This record gives sequence, structure tokens and C-alpha cells, in this order.
Amino acid sequence: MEAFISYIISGIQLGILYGIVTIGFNLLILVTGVLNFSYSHLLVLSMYAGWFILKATGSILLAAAGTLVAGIFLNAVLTPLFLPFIKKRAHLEALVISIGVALISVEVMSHWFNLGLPIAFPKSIQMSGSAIKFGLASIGIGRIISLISGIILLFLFFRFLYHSKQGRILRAVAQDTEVAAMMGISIPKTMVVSFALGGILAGIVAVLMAVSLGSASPELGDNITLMCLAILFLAGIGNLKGGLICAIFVGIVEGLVMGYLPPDWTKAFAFSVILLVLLFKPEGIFGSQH
Amino acid sequence: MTLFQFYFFEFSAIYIMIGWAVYLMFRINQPYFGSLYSMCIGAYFAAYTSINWGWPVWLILMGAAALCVLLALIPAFRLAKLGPFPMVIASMAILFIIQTVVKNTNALGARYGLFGMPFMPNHVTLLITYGLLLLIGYMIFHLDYSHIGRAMDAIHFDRDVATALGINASRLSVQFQMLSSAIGGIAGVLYAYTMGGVFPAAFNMNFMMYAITIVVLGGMYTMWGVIISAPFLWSISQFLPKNMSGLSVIIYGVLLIVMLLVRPGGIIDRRILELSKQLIERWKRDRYIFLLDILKYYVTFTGRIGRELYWLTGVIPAIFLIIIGAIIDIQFLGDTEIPVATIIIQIIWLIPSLSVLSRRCHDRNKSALFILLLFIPVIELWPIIELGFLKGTSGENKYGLDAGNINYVNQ
Repeated sequence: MEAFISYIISGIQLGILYGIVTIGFNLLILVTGVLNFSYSHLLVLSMYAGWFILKATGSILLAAAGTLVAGIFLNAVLTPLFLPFIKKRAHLEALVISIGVALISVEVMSHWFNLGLPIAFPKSIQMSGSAIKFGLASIGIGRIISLISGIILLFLFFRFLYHSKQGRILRAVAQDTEVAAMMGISIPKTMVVSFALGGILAGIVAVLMAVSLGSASPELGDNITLMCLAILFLAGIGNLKGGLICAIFVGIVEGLVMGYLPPDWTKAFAFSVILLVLLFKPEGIFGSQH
Repeated sequence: MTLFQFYFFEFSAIYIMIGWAVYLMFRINQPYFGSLYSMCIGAYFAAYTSINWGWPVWLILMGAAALCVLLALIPAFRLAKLGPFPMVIASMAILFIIQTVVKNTNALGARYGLFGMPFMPNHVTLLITYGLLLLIGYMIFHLDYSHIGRAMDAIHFDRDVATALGINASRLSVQFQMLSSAIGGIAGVLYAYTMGGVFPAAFNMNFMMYAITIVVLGGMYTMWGVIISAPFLWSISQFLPKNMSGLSVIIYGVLLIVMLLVRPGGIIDRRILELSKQLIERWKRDRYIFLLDILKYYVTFTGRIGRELYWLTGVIPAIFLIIIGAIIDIQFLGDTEIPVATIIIQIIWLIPSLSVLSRRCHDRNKSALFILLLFIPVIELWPIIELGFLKGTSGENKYGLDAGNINYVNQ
């Protein structure tokens, strides 16, 4: 029973991280129409950046700041690649480009960074020494910290989206780009803002992942993308709140399944869910909010 | 025939088939990669039946095509209604599920794959492959130029309008999924016979990326681009040094991104197809005057030409001539000290190349003396980049009218 509870808590924590990444995906889809496949690969790349900084300087704060900056920087650098296709509304080409970026980053990570081996953050970051123990099970403080900061981040994000001027602008563009443009909103500026916001979210999630997972590998980007796409289609494309609920649900299921099935089948399971949802309910459980 | 040449021709043909199968679905705006997992299924089918039951090739080919069509039919009616995003994700999902199942099934050799298929002589394999390639090419060519081809265009540009015009987009999609899967299954059988077996890691995400690169690089709006891009991309992976073999995926990715940004239509897009059609018509109308015009084109030193014409009539023929010269020198004249054929070809090509280069200089509003920079070692990069990639000055300059305004077919 204790093990079960600890699985559930780590599942919720994982689910909230998935939820934030899914929001990053959704934001870009809503505002620019681009399904940025490489989003979570950039996230993993910024984890690598944080790891390199940590190895070079030994300062945790500097590494966290570096991870955040890398997340924003990588997303900002890739923006010009997508802009011409956003203008032409060539969403398929943009998707193909982002798949290309994703594969290139996986190859780069698995050939040149740390000889392609997974990177491991020092145990002190996860604070697993001072874990909360109840019965036989224990949960690292790192996971709890990441859970709480994830919830705070989500709160701040929704506050920004629904109670600030820039958030209103984002929602307006997401709802109808042409009408928003007629109301005097600068569309290119909003798109850059959405890319930057995605970058900030990616950077923060990269820090939280480093704290809670404690390691990263070239395949991690693929795995996160896969899970987030499953959530995206399960909830319905563009549905932020539904996405969050589905993310927590999927996180719990994954937390439970990981204890009993080999990792290969976990992925196949996620893909089967995607496939079934796409085939039988293409608009998702909660419906899309286009 | 050396082993390398055999592999080159064989894999070129297989990847052209796969390219066509993917191209068909790209044309109706549904990037379906069923041909890829059909290839996996076909390859395993061939390996399993030939090793365990001793089936002959023709039976395996037919069986694989039939099996792939049947398997494709299961999700086809649902997939036919999906838009481009969900379609990509769904195909990826099926590819991954099939790979996982194959990897964990002991009867199919699990992680190590199936090897030890009956040997088929190289020339027989080539003969079967090219026969099937011609058959499939002929079929797709006729599809493209029939009423179905026009329906494909209509769906590509606007699915709703096409439906309003009375085109059954879903039915067409189902038919194309079946066709695409059958081609994939056949390609898989040929792949298994070429490799002598099959292993599961060959059909991963990188393979999907490779197929996308073939189609996008060649041109996703015509069937002809694939014929150029498939051999080209296969050669890239072979000519890389051993310690840099991991680079090939990065090169594919970079090529894909650059091509989409610079020329979204691919190497051979609709305009070039239209152009070549006009040229063929002119040839039919009056071939001697046409030849004379070509001759005149290559000895003219006044006026301007744009980047496209520069590449099509200057750079690409030059590359072809260099390759032909090298082949003649090595294959027919023996490896002599002096490359006779290359020198002769270069002397003949001197005046045409100067003509094209000088007119491209004029387009950049520069004197033709700019070409001389090509003979200085490092500085040569400047004219190469400037002439090859930069746009000409807009409007009239002192060398003539804007190159974009001249209709060069009738020039």
C-alpha cells in the first residue's frame, strides 16, 4: 500500500511536468498553428546545457539559470525556421522541419555529448538523502519540490493567461488570428511572445526534470514528445485545461505501469492509446478549442 | 558487376519505390507512412516464409502485397478522415507498435532478426526489382495524368472544395493507402532478398525521416524528383568515412530543412515539369531550329540570366559532364596518366560555361571579369556563392532587362 501511494505521488508529479510541456505544445499550436515536434528535444538539450555548466562550475544556482537561459535561447533561435511557414500556413512543412530538428538534436546528443551515454546529475540535487519515509516506501525531496513548484508555475501561467493584457492578446490570436489583427494586435509580435513563453516553460521544466528524474539521455526527448502527443490528442488539440487533467491521469497510469511492465511496452502502450483515440475520437475527449 | 554497384542499383530502386508510395499520400495532403511499416511486414514475411516454408519468390511477392493491403485496410477507413497532423502521428504510432511487437516475438528472431534466406543471384534480383519498378512507375504516371491525378490536385489544395466538387476524398484516400501499402510490401520483400535477411532496428524513426527526406528533397508535387533524390541520398551514406557514419542522419536533416526553406517544392517542382513539357513540344514542332537555339544560347555573352537557369543550364550539366568524363576515363580508356576524355569535354564546355557565368555576372550588375576570381584559391568562394545563391538586381541594369521578366523557353 505504501508503495502504491508513492507511485501515485510520483505519478502526479510526472503528470504535472507532462502537463506543463503539453501546454507549451498547445500554446504554439493555438497561436501559430505549428506542431513543434522538437519542443521537448530542446528541453532535453537545455538539461544537457545545465549539466555541462554544473560540471564546469559546480554551482547549482548557476546551472539552473543556465538551463533556463538555454531553454529560452534554443526556442528563440528556432523561431525564424518556422516563421515563413506560419505566414504561408504551410503547417505540414513546419511539422516536417520540426521532426528534422528533433532527429538532428537526438543524433548530436547521442554522438558528441558525453559519448552518447546518459548524463546523471549529482545525488545532492535530488536531495534523495533526506527522503520522506513512510513504511517501506520513500519519496525524494526533489520530487516534492518539483511537484510544488510545478503547481505554482501552472497557477502563475493560468493567472498570466486569463488575468493579464498579454494573456488576453494571446487568447485573442488563438481564437481568430484575422479578427485579432483587425483589432490592432501585432501578430508577429504575439507569435514571438508565444515562442518565448514556450521557451520559458521548457527551461523551467528542464530544471524540474533535472531535480526529479536526476538523469537525461538522448532518448528522453522522444519519450516526452510521445507522452505529450498522447495527452494532446487524448484531450483534444488546443484544450489547455483538458490537457492538464489528461496529463495528470497519464502520469499516474505511467507511474503505475512502470512498476509492472518493461519500458519497451510502456511506450507501445502509449502509442496504442494515441492510435485508438485518433481512430475513434479524433477530436479528443474534451474536444478541441480552436 | 561489383557488389557496390549491385547494392547501389538495388537500393536506389527500393527507395524510389518507397518514395513513390509516400509521394502518393503526400499528394492528397495526408502524410501516411503505411508504406514504411508495410515494408517491415513485407520483409519479415519474405524472410519467414522463405526460411521456414521454402516459398518461391513470385508467391512471396504476391503474398506480401496481399497481406499488406489487408492489414492496411483495418485502420484505413478511419485514417482516411484524418488531417495531416493526426495522420503523421497515427502512422508513427503504428510503425512503433509493429516494431515493438516484432522486437519481442521470438518466432521472428526478436532483437536479432531473421537471417539465412535462400540466395538469389544478383542479376535475377536486379531484373525482378527493375521490372517491378517500371511497372509501378508506369502505373503512377498514368494515375498522375488521369482524372484521379486532377482529383489529387483538388484535394491537395482544398479538401472541402474538392468534396463539394463531387470528389470522394475518403474513398480516394483508402484506395491510395492500399496501393501505397502494396508497394511498401513489395519493396520490403526485395529489401529482404537484397540483405539476405531482416533485422528490426532497420525500421525505426530514422528510417521514416529518411523516407520524408527522399520525398521532400526530390519534390513532393511530382513523381520524378524521387528518381534523383533516392540514389543521391543513398550514396551520401555510403561515401561518408567510417568514423563519421553517424553524421548521415544529421546531413539528411540539414538537407531537409534547407530544401524546405529555400525551395519548398523540392528539386523537381511543377514549374520545371511545365518547362520540360514546353521544351519537348518545341522539339516536336521544329527540332533543327530548337537545336540551333540551344547552340545560340550557349554562345551568347550579352543579357542576363537568373539563378534557376544558371543552375539548370550551367552547374548541373557541368557536374554531369565531369561524371561522364570520369566514367569514360576509368571504365573505357583505363586508368591512364592523362585523363583524355575529361580534358576534351572540358575544352568543349569552356565557351558555354563562360557564356552562362558571364550572363549571371551581368545579372548581379557586375562585369564578366568577375569570373577571374574563380581562379584564385580561397577567394573563389565569393563568386561561387554570389553567382549561385544571390538574387539578381531588380529592374533594368546596364546589362539588360530583369532576368525574371524574360520568358526563356521562347528565347
